[in-house]
Amino acid sequence: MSVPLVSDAPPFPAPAGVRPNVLAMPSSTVARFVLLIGALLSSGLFVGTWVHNRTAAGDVWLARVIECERLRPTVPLKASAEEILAAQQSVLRCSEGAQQKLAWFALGGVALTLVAAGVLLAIVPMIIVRRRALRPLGPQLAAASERVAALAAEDGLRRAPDTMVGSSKLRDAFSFGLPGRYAVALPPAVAVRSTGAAFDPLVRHELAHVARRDVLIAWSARALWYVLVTLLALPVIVGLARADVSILPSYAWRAALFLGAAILASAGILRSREYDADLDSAQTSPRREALGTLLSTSGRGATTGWRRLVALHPDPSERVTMLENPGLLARPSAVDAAIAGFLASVTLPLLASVFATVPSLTVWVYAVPAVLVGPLMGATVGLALWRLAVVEMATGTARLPAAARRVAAGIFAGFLVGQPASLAAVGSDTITGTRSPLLPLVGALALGGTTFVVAGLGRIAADRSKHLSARGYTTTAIFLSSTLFAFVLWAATMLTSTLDLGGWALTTLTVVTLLTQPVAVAVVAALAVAVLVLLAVRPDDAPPTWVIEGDPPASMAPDGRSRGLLDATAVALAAGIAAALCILAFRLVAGPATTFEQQTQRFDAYVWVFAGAGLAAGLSLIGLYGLRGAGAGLTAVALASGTAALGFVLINVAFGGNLTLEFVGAILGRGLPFGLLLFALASLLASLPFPDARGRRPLWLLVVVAALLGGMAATGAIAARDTISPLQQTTTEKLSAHDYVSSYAPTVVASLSSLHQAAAAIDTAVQLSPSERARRIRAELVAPLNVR
Amino acid sequence: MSSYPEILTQPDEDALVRELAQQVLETTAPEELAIFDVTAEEYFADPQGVLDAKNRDEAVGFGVELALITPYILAVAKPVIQLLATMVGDAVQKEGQPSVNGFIRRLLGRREPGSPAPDPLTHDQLALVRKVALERGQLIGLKEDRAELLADAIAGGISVAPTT
Repeated sequence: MSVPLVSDAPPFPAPAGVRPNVLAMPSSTVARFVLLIGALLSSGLFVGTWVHNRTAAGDVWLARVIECERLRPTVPLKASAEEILAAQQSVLRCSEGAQQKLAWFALGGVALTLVAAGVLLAIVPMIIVRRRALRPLGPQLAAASERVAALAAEDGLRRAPDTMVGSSKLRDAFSFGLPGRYAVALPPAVAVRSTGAAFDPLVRHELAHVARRDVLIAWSARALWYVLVTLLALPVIVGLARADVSILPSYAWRAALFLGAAILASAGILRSREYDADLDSAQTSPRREALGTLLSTSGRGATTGWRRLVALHPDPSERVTMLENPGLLARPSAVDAAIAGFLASVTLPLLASVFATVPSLTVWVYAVPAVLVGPLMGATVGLALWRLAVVEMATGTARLPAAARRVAAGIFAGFLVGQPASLAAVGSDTITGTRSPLLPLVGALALGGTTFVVAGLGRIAADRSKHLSARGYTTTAIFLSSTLFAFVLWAATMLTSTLDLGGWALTTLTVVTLLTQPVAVAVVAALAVAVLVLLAVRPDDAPPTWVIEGDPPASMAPDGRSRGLLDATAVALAAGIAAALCILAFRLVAGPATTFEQQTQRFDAYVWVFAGAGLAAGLSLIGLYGLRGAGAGLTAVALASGTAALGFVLINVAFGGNLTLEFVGAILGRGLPFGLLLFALASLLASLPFPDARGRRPLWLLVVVAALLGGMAATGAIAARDTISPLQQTTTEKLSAHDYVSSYAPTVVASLSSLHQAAAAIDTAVQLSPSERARRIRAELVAPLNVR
Repeated sequence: MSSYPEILTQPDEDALVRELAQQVLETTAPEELAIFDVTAEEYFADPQGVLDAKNRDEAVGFGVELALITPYILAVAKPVIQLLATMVGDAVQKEGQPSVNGFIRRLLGRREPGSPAPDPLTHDQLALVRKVALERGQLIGLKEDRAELLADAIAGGISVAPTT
């Protein structure tokens, strides 16, 4: 392929005087805000469930579940897996109505939270007017009112906000109100000086808040928080009133931590919006000078210590620095990332609990929460990193690797802490909510690694941003990041839950069945194709014009250093072919599988081989190209995995197997999802100081490294086949490869779905005693696995 | 320091404080005169609350505090009026002046047409007035340079107050 896939250009030294337009792309704060709102609302699910359990409805539910258990069909000692699962299905069907009622209560908690917050939001403006003694400007201050209207028109607002003046105690201007009825409250010291130096920059700043919908963001987050403080205090108050404090040890700290994190998140978002409002309101030199002077002479001291974390405004000196050097605004912080990870982590299990509650909905228990939270993670983390990547094209800096490390560490820490801190874990026997305290690491590590992949994709896209509009670049950032995060969340939470409830046996089954579902394969394939298309665009050293304020200097024309060098396809092919050759070698040495169990074991192991080939290709790219390698690895994983699978198909045909389209289609993508999950985990290696695509690598080196890693991965998977898929009792029944994908695998998938259904049901039944829970795990999970 | 409450009632004192403050505002921040009455009412209702208004760090606010100078002038004017009342109290009784209130008003340049001009304060008395104003300004948190300016404006208003 002649088109260079990965640019190796070092950062282009930006000429002096270039000012990046960081507002060309939407700020990730909107997504962070939605994530915060989502997290706050999801805790309404807990409140609803708690109300259910504390009322007669909870007693009815418990009685029904016990009755359904009592009616569970008797299963003979040597019953088949199907018989055990049928018995379990019977119990689930029996309790469906009661479980649905429980789910409605949980959703009712969300509705109650939403309505209460809406009412509060609606009356907040009246409360503000009264408490701050705000009044219309009146004829004496008509000049101020007219000036505000003129500035609003100048800044393109369709409707000028109402202008009010506060009492002598009001010293800072602020905005409030509801969409369509916004108002700006001016301190009297400003209102009387409509021609003063402070008036225009201050009012423009407030108008920028109004135009950017910051008012709604700020006050709705605050309203929701107030409502939730009240609602989440209910279990404590009721518990104390009834002298039943059994829930407090596992509840109080989680609720407090969650509300504390919400405060930090809200404050962090608002501080970011202040920077944005400053830049938005001061887009010309004179305006920047006026605002900078006003901020510099404010005399406000620096905020220190913990107050800095909860302050709604950055220090004036920081704002002046940001005005002068807006590129700094594009740098994402570890704290913001940690809070985003925390909020995502506490929200996921709460959402999952709704779907786990109702037996007929458990099939969505991992998918829907991931689809809801993943895009928010993508638009938060992805957009921030992609914005930095393209801004660096203009500033000539190279802070993306450090930023990716910072963000990944934040996401990892936040997600790790968030899992045990989720209100969904209230009532569980352990602090982490899982049987092994190490299990929360799976999701945290996967998301941390995904951050590097997303950052790498941002670097690759920034290399090609000259060919994209700001909107196109933003859309691509959100689409790729969101899909990737959603996929990783889905896979990681499913495997974590599987490991927790079913151990290694259920996990290996899940890897070769549920994780290979067509939808998952299609998602990974779509991601790979999208990245391949992106890679196929020729990179350009020059930044896009939209990321520079004003006209780009002539010296920023391409200088021809964008050589481009890596063909991700070569790496993928090398790893995939090496893996396929290992399968061939194994087949030649070990001979044909003679029993159904052997065939099953080999198929299972080959899924790991396919995934391993993908992992090998991705790792090769990371090792040789750093962040860009992590981004390009997404495509390489799919190509390598598909190549290995295709090799297996050819080998199978060569040894007399049937070649059908259905078989090929089913095999080709089988290793993609698991391969991508492994790659996401392995992408943590991109945190090491690998060169970030500086200097061309010889093609032979790429191929050799990829082939070596691919061969090692495949050999390892084949050698570990007894661990991956232990051989069961030998039967005389034999299956062809075609039978495997057309009848055996779907059957296992169906059985496994039932197992997951049972696992989810046990997981959400927090009212069960530990011994009762253990009994159900033995009966509904371990028993079917053992007889398989 | 006594404010001679028996000869200067609280309403009289407040009125004099307002007059002195307005006089200072005319030269230092005339734009604030547009809302002087409202500001003064708020100040007299809760002087400490107005002077020590807490930084609320308003959501979607500007983030920088901009305060009226009027409450500070009122705060500084109050001890100045009280000092003037102390200074002129004896003279009023000795010279049979109608009231301390009228005497101070004339010192501030608010002399009724036809009434005799008051004896100007001595240089030492003016220096004391300036010192009290400066100390009060510093006490309520004004920066040194602003406190100096305000003290000068107040002392200057008394010594060179034009007749009306």
